[in-house]
Amino acid sequence: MIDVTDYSQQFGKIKVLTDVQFTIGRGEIVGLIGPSGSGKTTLIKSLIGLQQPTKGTVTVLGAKQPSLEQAEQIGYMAQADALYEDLTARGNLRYFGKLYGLKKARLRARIETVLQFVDLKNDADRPIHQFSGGMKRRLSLAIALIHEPSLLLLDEPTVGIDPALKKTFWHEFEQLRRSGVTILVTTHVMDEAERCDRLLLIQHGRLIDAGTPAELVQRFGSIDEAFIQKERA
Amino acid sequence: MQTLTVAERVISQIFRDKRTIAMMFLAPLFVLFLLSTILGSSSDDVTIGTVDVPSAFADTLASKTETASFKTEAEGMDALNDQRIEALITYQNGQPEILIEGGDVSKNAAALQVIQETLITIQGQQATATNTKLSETVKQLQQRLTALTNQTFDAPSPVVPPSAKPDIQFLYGSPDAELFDQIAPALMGFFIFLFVFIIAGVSFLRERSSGTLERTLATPLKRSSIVFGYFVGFFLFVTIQTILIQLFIVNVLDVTQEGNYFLLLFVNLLTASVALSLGLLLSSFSRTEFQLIQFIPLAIVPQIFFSGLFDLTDAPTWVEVINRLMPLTYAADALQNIMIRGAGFTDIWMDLIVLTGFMTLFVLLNMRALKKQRPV
Repeated sequence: MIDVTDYSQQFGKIKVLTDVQFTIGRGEIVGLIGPSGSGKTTLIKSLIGLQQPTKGTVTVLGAKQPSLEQAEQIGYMAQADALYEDLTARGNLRYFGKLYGLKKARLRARIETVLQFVDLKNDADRPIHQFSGGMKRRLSLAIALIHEPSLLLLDEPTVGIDPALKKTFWHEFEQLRRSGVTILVTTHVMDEAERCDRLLLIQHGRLIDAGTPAELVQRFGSIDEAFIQKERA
Repeated sequence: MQTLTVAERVISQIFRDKRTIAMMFLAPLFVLFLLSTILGSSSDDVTIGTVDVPSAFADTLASKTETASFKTEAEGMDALNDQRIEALITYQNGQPEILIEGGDVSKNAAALQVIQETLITIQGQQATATNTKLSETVKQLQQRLTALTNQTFDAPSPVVPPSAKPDIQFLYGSPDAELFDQIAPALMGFFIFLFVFIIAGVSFLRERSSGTLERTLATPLKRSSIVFGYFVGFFLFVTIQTILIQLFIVNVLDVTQEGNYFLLLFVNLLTASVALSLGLLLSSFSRTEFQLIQFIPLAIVPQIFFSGLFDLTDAPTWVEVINRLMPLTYAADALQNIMIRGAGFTDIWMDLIVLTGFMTLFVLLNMRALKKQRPV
């Protein structure tokens, strides 16, 4: 699904990512773990195709990024809730659904499905500026799912939401994986890391280690410990 | 298709914001109404004070404007200082001396004009009187000569001065056209430019800062669809705005409208396109709404000066250069020519080409700015 080779990203003189290399297969939930400022969001943006790699290649779903080809198959949830505050939840879903090329009947059906999925059916016709933070996160997830993508890129999906909602989110991610969706999720919360199939550890713009949560815990004692040991090395 | 999706969203966003709608549609009408009232309420009536002037002069002056006669010059000076009169006329050795108050340009001009008219009338009267006297004297002399010499002399008959009232006609407009008729078309262009610039610029800036622009760019839409979606969305509002302003200034404010309404709408849509693309472009150079608003004194306000409100015939070259660089110069010129002179497409095509050029330039720069957000 994702193949990143020898990839570096530089903005002016600032090197954000250096020689990143990894692959992600179908139907995996992969956690991208690292402290804030380590380059997680930049990596996600390259995977969507929002920037030109300075060096190396980023291949997603068989095509080199940046390109518009795969955009229809990628679902993206940004770190900030990128929602139109004046529009209703349904209005936001309709707009993004149409941009992904959904046609009338399918669009209508998909809107109802994802609203059900994130439990926003009763608030679907309220404008977003009346929504709580958690509701906005849920709607952002619904938008990421509107076009039934085969790859989900989620940038800090559970930041600032309550534990119950976090649990629901992860339950939903696992449900999606069962239906064959590949998920890459960034986080810096360790209990979330443990729910992933595989982890990519990123620090100072470099991929420092990778493996299943169990492997990493075995080698370093804990995931936090992994970062501390790598920092010393 | 995607362009229409973006347009639909822009439209429903603005329609949900009632205050923006009200500002866009009612504010121009209110300001135009206010300006029309203010320009219409200035009065050219002046009061002129006189001290001991010949009665013929006083009578003629009184037939043209309000006068006040004073016994002494000191009294007259007091009145002038208190601005009860705009000018004071005294006679020194049979010659009029005129003192103008000088604080109110238009009233001073009116006072001067009245006084000059009076002087001309008086001179005319004097000339006629002299003429009459002269021809009487000549007649008497002729009679004397005839009596003395039995010969007749032909003297030239007195020349009658030509009528002082030429026939004045207006190629365009009418004698009762006011300043407001001249600036109303330009102001319409200005309002459309201003409102589209602000609303589009702020909306686009919000898209940047809230992340919706990036989120939209993560979908498979073309970059140009965003810009053109904004165009189409705003065209709806500019059309409504044009219709409202036209109905209002023509029917309520009684402004001359000689031209084709569709051509007017076309010019307005083109003006809006320039404002829109400029607003989107400048929004990419701003981090906050506040920074975008700071562009207004620099990019928008000077355009009022160049929109045909003032005559720039004698302006220095650098002002002329700025004038030529301002999109509103061309919009105002086209709108004025259509409304006042009934100009057609063939008369204003140069303006339209320049406006299209501005729009194309801004759109291309916009695409470049968006390329930073997504390289493909």
